[in-house]
Amino acid sequence: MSTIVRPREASRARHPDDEGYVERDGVRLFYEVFGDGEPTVFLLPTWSIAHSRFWKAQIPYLARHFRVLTFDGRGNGRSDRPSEPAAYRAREFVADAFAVMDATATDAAVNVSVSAGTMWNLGMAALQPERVLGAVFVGPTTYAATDDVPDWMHTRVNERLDSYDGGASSYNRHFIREHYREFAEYWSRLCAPEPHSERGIEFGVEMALDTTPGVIVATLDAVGMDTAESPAEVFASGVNAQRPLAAQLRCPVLVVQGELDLICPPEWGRALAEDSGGELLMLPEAGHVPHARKPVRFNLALREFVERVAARQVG
Amino acid sequence: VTTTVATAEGAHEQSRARYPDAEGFAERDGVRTFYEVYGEAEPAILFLPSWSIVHSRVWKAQIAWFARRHRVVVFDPRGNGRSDRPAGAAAYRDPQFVADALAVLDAAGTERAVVVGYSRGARWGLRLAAEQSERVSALVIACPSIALTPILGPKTQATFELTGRARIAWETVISQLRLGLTHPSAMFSRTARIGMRHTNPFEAARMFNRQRWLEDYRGFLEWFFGLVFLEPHSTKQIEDCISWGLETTPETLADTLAGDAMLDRHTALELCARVSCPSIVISGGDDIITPPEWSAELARALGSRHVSFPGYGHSISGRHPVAFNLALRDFIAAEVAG
Repeated sequence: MSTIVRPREASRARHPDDEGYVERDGVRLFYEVFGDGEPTVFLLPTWSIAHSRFWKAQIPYLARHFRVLTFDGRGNGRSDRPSEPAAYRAREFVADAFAVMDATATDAAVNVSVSAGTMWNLGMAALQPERVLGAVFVGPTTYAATDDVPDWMHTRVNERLDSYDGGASSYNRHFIREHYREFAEYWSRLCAPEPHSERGIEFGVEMALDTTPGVIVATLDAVGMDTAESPAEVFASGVNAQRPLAAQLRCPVLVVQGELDLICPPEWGRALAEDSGGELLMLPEAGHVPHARKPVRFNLALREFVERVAARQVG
Repeated sequence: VTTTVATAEGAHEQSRARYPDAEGFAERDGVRTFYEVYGEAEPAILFLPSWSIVHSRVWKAQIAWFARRHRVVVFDPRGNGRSDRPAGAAAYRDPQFVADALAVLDAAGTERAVVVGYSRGARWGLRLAAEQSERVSALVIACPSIALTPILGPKTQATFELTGRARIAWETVISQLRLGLTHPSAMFSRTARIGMRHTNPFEAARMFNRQRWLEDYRGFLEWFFGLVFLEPHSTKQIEDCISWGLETTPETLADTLAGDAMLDRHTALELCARVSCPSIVISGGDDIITPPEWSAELARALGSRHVSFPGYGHSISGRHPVAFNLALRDFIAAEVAG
């Protein structure tokens, strides 16, 4: 007798104990809750090119020890995709995050962000510091002037080019609109320069294709990319005002930074750790998404940090 | 506070999820076999080696998990890892590996074990279960290198020793056959169709050649493991296996090939009939090294259950460890007393 075991569609190691939508100004946001430990770890959205499944290597592990809360950032996953750039300003993501905390009766949490999520993480701590028990930043976007600004920041983001080299010039509104899949592949590869990242890169592209190029361009314009020469100009102009906010953080801070990060160079992570007086975990063989590519190392460090924060609350 | 996580000592040495509780050598006729023991609970599990092209780290995705609930014993096959590399084909015939396995069980103080045999190791597991039934509490066979029906196509050994002009002539014949192939019946089997997507049946006859191995051993390893792991996202497994393959030499591997003999149908059926312990056969539906039809026939001969995973290739334990480990766990829970 032969038993045929059918391969399943992308199954999950753990399914949510609770899920739902919260609506804010007509935009519906999809959230999930896992486990019921203490404290709550809030896995924040990043740029709308990804959704909450980019935490899939954290959720089942963390949920054994803590309560885990996550949601799809507006623009991707099961959340709505408003079309106007103003809907993607940092303050909207911050307000979304608080709305999700309210809807799930979460008084306070340890916040964890990756890349663009830095802005929401800092914004939450600035607006309602009593609800942020600790803040963890992975590959943060806290621009720090360095000699070695990454290539993608020097592109002419608004100019229609005759040809695109498949490299840094891909970060361009016309290329994104007209060659979205190629852009998604370029960006996903840039996120994971580690060897054996094929599956991760593929998943990054899948998440990107879950939204539209229009949404991605709107998120760029939300930070003023439409009137800038290059991404570097946007970041350097202080529009994001991230470093001053970092200096005001009063909660325990952990910065996890990959030394091979091609999107946010190691100096940026170092700057955030210095500004905030936080700890810096520098991972020598990791790129921009160490939580996804080095999940064991990342999860152990995160768990240890959250336990220390929790002990501090009790003590 | 800045913490920089150091990479494992030695830039490229890999760290392990779990280190052995005991290790040592079992010596037989002057040949030393390196073994490791993890965990202590009964029933013990003996993971046999597969082919000396790799060594016991091929079980790395099983060891740490099973050692939580079992004593796990693994050993490097003669010809690779930390075991000796005796010269000559006679040192690599099946009975040598079977005797090594018994010597390891003795050295590890293990009276009885669930025996897991993968690929070529399936033959050694089958012999152990048939001939040493008191040492084997259950038999697990994965992707067995045991064909109960005759294999179509050229036998690899037949052309392995061709050199010089004879080898060139043979390769020319292969090329002509490739070009002239129309509809030989073998091409209609599912395995052949999958195989044709990645290589062709005559490519094997060209790659399995001593002279070729001596000229470009790494090229052979890359080709071979590319066929073992047909699944996407297998670069790490392929890289691991190539590095293990490079721990031995083409000369030693040639001895293991020359010493190799597929079981003939009569012997295989006789051995199957003598197996009295519980058994299971696990196969990959897209395995082109040891096609799943072989597993189905073997399961029938053993009277055991056959679990086939569609889309999986020749390394279920290495490439799909969760599926493999759960199948093995469930089998042990159902069939073997604790």
